Amino acid sequence: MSVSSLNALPQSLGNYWRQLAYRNRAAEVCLYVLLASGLPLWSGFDLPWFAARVLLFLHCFSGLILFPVYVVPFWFSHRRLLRNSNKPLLKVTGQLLDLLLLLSTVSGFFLLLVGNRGEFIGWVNHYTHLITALPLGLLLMRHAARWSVLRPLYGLPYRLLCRLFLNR
Amino acid sequence: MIITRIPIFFSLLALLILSLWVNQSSLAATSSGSIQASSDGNVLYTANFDAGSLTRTNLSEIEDQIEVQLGKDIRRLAVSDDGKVLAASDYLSKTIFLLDAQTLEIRAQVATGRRPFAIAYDGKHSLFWATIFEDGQLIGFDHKGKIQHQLQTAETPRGLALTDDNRLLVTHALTGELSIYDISATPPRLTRTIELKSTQKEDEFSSQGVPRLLDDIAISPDGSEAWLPHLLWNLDHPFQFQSTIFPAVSVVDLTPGAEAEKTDLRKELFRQINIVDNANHTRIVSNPHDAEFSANGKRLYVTLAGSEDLMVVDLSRRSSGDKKKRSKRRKGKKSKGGAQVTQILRHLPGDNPKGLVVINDDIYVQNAVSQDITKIDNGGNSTFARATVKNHPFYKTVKNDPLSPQQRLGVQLFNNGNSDKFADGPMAGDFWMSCNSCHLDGFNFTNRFLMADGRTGKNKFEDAVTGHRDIIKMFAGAPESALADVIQKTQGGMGADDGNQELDPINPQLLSLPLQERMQALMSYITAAENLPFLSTWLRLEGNGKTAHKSEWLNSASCAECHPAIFDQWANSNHGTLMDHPYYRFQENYAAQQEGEEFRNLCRGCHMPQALLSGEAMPQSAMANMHEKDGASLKTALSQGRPVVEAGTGCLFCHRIVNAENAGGNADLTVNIETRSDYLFEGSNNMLTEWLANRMINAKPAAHKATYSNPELYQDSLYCATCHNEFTSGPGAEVNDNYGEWLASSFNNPQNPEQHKSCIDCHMHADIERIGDPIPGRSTTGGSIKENVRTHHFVGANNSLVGLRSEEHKGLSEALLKSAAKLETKIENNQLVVTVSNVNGGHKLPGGARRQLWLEVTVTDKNQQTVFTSGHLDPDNRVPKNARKFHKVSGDRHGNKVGLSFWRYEKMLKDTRIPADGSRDERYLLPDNLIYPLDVKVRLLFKAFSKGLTDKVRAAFPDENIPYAPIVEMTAITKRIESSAVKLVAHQPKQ
Repeated sequence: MSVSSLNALPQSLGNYWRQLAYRNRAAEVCLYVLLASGLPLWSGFDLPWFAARVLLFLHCFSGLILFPVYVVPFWFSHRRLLRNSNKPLLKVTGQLLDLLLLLSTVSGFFLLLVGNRGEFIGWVNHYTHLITALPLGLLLMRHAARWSVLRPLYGLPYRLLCRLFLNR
Repeated sequence: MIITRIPIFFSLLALLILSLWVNQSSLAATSSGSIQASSDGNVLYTANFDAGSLTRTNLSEIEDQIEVQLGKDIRRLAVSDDGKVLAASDYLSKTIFLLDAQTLEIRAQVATGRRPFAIAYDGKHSLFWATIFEDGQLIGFDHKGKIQHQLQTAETPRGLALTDDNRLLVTHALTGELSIYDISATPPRLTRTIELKSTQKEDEFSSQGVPRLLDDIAISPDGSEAWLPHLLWNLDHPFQFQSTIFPAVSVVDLTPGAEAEKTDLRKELFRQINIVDNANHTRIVSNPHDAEFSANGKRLYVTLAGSEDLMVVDLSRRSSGDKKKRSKRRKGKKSKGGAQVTQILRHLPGDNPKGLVVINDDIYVQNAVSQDITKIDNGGNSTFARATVKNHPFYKTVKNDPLSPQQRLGVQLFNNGNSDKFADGPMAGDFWMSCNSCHLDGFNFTNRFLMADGRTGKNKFEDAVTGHRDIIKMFAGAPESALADVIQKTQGGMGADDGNQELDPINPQLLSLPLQERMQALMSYITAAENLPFLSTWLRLEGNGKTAHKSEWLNSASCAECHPAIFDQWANSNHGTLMDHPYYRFQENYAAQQEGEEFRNLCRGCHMPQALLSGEAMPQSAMANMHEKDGASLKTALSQGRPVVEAGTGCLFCHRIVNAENAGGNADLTVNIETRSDYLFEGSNNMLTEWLANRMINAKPAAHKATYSNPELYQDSLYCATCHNEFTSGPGAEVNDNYGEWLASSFNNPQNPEQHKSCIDCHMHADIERIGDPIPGRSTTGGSIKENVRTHHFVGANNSLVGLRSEEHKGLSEALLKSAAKLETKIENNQLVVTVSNVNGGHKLPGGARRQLWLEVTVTDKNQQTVFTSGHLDPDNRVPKNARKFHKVSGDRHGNKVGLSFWRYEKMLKDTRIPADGSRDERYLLPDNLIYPLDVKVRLLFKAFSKGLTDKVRAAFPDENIPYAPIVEMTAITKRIESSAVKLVAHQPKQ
C-alpha cells in the first residue's frame, strides 16, 4: 500500500464521521421507532397485553441494537455542531435535545439492564424515561424539520382536510 | 248535548281501561327460566344448556328459526319488555350475553363472577337482574351491559323472580332460603329472608329432609304466592334410595311486609303428591325443576326432570279460607294441605324435561338432553281436564350438538331418574332420583354443601361417610364397575329395587357390553373438563384441553434470577421439590397396588400436580432425590434448556391458581397458564432470548406482577385448604379438615385484624418467634421493601425432610414446633394430670398425617428413685404402644384400622389431637405410698415419621439413604410436688 493511500484512510474515516452528523435519516427513523414503540407503553394508554408485549420487545430491541448502531455515532458526530452552528433556533433546540437524549438514554439503559423492580432509583428512571419521551420527539421533529424523513407528511393534515371538506 | 257526549264518555272509559291494562301488563310478575315466550306468544327463546347456544323460533312457522352459538352452558334468559333485548347467562364462562332479540346478534357482554345463573327483567328500571350462583351475588345491569348494582347475598343464590310491586325474590339453592329484595330502593335492600321448613326428623319413616336445589320460582298470576319446586335432602342417615331424596313444592305467601312460607301447604310425596297407579302404588317422581301457572292461575305445571314427567297441581279446589263448617268427610282431607296433585303425565317424550312455558292452552316443555320441545295440550280449563302430549318433537332447539354421542349419553345418564329408560340397567330404582339430585350440575363447589348436609346429625365415631360406601377400587381402578355399583347401592338402580320384578340385581363386576358402554359414557361426563378430568382428584386446568405440554410450563429455577431468596426458600421446603420423597412414593405405590394405577391421581393432585396437568406419565424413576439441595436438578435442566415436570407445587403452578373452589379439598383448584400476561420469550430455552425476556420483565414489571399475584386469594386460608383439606373420593369422609379447624378457631377473626391470622401469617412468616409482627423484607432483588415479606419456607412440622437439605429450614420448623404447645401438671387423687394446651396452632395438633406427638413422663421420689414412667422410647427406639399419643386413628367400615389405606376411612376410632384454642388432659394413675416430694418431668415430643414406617420405606427404597426422623422436644415442664405444697421448678426448653 502506498503512503498516500495510508494517509487517505484517516481522511476518509474523518469524512465519514463528519457526514454522519448531517441528514442522518437512519438515526432519525430509529428515534421515531423508539418513540412510537415506547410511548404507547405508558399505562395511560392501557393497551391490551398482546400488543403491549410486542411493542415492549420492539422498543427494547431498538434500544439495545439499533440505538447504539445508528443514533449514538450520529449523536456524537452531530454534537460538534453545537459549537459551530450559527443558527440560534437549531442551537437552542439542539442543546435541549442533547440533554433530553442523555437523560432518556441513561434512564433507558438503566431500565433495560437493571429494571424498575420497585426500588426508588428504578422509579426515578422510569419517570425520567417517560417524561423525556414526548418533548424529545416533538423537539426532534422541529429541529430536523428541514431535512426530516417526515417532510413528505408535512401539510398532510391540511391536505386531508381540504380533500374532505372542500373537495380539492 | 247528551247524545254528543255519550261517545266521548265511552271513549274516555275505553282509554281508562286501556291504560290500566297497559300498566298492569308492563308490571306483570316475571321469573327466570330457560325457555321464554315473547309477549305476543308467537316466539319462543330457549337457552340450550350445554349445547352452548340460544335459539329463537317462530311458533307459527317453525322453520323460521335462528340458533346462535354463544359459549359453554347457556342456562337462563330474559327478554326486555319492549322485546328488543335479550340477556342469556353462560354458566361456565362467567359471562352474560346481551343480544338483539330479533336477530340474536350479540350487542354486549357482561363479565360476571362465577356461575351466573338466573336472569329476570325489571321493566320499571330497565334493568336485567342476575344471580351469580357460586360467588353469591346479585347484579343489576342495563341494556348496554353496564352493571348498575352489585350486592353480596347469602350463599348460593339461584332462582330469580320479580313481583309486580318491585320485590325481587331470590332462592338460595343449597341453603333452603328465599331472600326478598326491595329494588325500588337504591341500592336495593334486603327486606326479608325466609328459611324454608326442614322436615328432617329422627324417625326415618316420617323424615323427608331439608329443602335444596331451588332452581326456579313461579309467581301466581294474582301475585299473592310464590311456588318453589325443589328437592328435600334427607342425608342424616346412610343412603337408602327410598328415604334420602324427596320431591317437593313449597308455597310462600307474598303479602307485602308479611312474606312467609305457608308450611302447611308444601306439596310432598305421599301427601299432596300422591297419585296412585293401578297397583295401588304411589307414583314416585323426582327432581322438580321448573313451574308455571296456567293463565287463570287454577293450575300449576311442574316439570320433573329426573323421572321425566309433568306434574299438574290443581288449585281450583283450594279452600278460600272461609270459616264455614266443613263436613266430617272433608275434614280429614283438609289436613293434607291445600291443593293436590291431580295428574302426573308420565314419561314425557324427550329426555330430561326442564324448562316450561305456558301459552294459552299450550304447554311447551324444553327437554335439555334431547334438545327439543314437547308441546302439550292442557286439556282445557275444566276441573277434570287432563294434559296430553300434542306434538313431539315440536321442534329441535339445537341443530349441531357440540357434544359427541358418548358425551351426550353421559349427560343423559347423569340426569336420568326414569327407571323405565335403560330397562336393562336403570339409573334409579322406582324413579326416586338421579345423580344430579345430589351432585348439582356435576362435581363442583356444591359438593361442600352436600358433604355438610351429609354430616348433619352424624357422629364421626359412628359414621363419617357422607356419600357412597364401599366403592369398588375407589372408582379409579375399575370405573365402570364402581359406577354401576354406586348406582345400585345409592340410587336403587341396576336391579336393586325389590319392587321391580322384571330385573334381577346386576353384578357390577360382570357388566354386559351395553352396560359397560353406558358406564363409559357416564364416565365421559364425570371426567369432562368442568367436572373431574382426573377423576380421583379435583384438580383442573382452565383453557383449551385437560393438559398443557410440559414445554408450556416455566421451570421454577427461571424465577431465581430475580427472586433468588424466594427460590432457595421454596426449593428446600416441603412444598418444593421434596413432595415426591420416598414416604410419598411408598404411599402412592401402595395406593396404586390396592386400587389401581389410576388411583395415583388422588395423591398426585396435590403432590405432583404439574405431572397430571402436563399429561406426563412421570414414573417414580423420574422423581427427584430427596437429598438434593437448592433445586439443583431444576437449575441443571434450565441451563440445558430442557423442559421439566416438577414435583411439588412450583412457582407457575401456585402463582397461576385462579380459583379455589371450596368443594372440600382434594386439590379443588383451577390453574390457568394459558391466558397469563407472559412476555415475549418468557420461559425460552435459548439463553439470549431468555435474558432479553428477563430484561423486559424488569423494565416493565407491572404486567408480570399482576399476572402472577392474586393477593385476595393468596391471603385467604381457603387457598391452602385446596390441598390441606382432604376427603375420601366417593364416600366423602373427611380425612383432613385443617381449614374447618381454623375456621372454628380464634385465629379466624377478620373483624379484628390484630387477632386474625390466616395460614400464611404463620407458615410464611420470616421469623417464627415473632408471628403476628410484620417483618420487612424484599421478595425481588432490587425491589421495594415490603412491610411484611412472605417467605417461602412453608414452615411446618416436618423438620425431618427439610433437615436433609437446609439447616435454616430445619431450625424454622423446630422453632414452630416449640412455640405450638404448653404443658401444665398437677396431682389430684393420686393421679398425675398433664394438661397439653394448643397455644399457637390455628388447627388441631398435630396437623398433618403420620406425625407422632406424645408425652414422656418421669416421676422420681424423694430418694431420686424413678417411681413412674410413660412414653419413654423402647429399646428399639419406638414410641411404646401405651404412650399417650395425640393423633387420630381412622377405621374402615368394619371398625378396623385403615393404616395406609386412609381412603377407606368410614369411622373415626380415636381422635386425641389437641384442638386449636383448646387443651387436653392426660391422667396417669400413680403407684400408692409414694415418698414425697415428687419431681415430675414431662416432655411433649414430636417425630415426623415413626420408626416402623421408616423401616418399611427403607425396605422399599434401600438406595435412598433414608434417616430416621429426629425427635424434637416441643416443650417440657419439671415440677416438684411436696406433700402439702407445690413448688414449681422452672425448666427452659432446649434451644
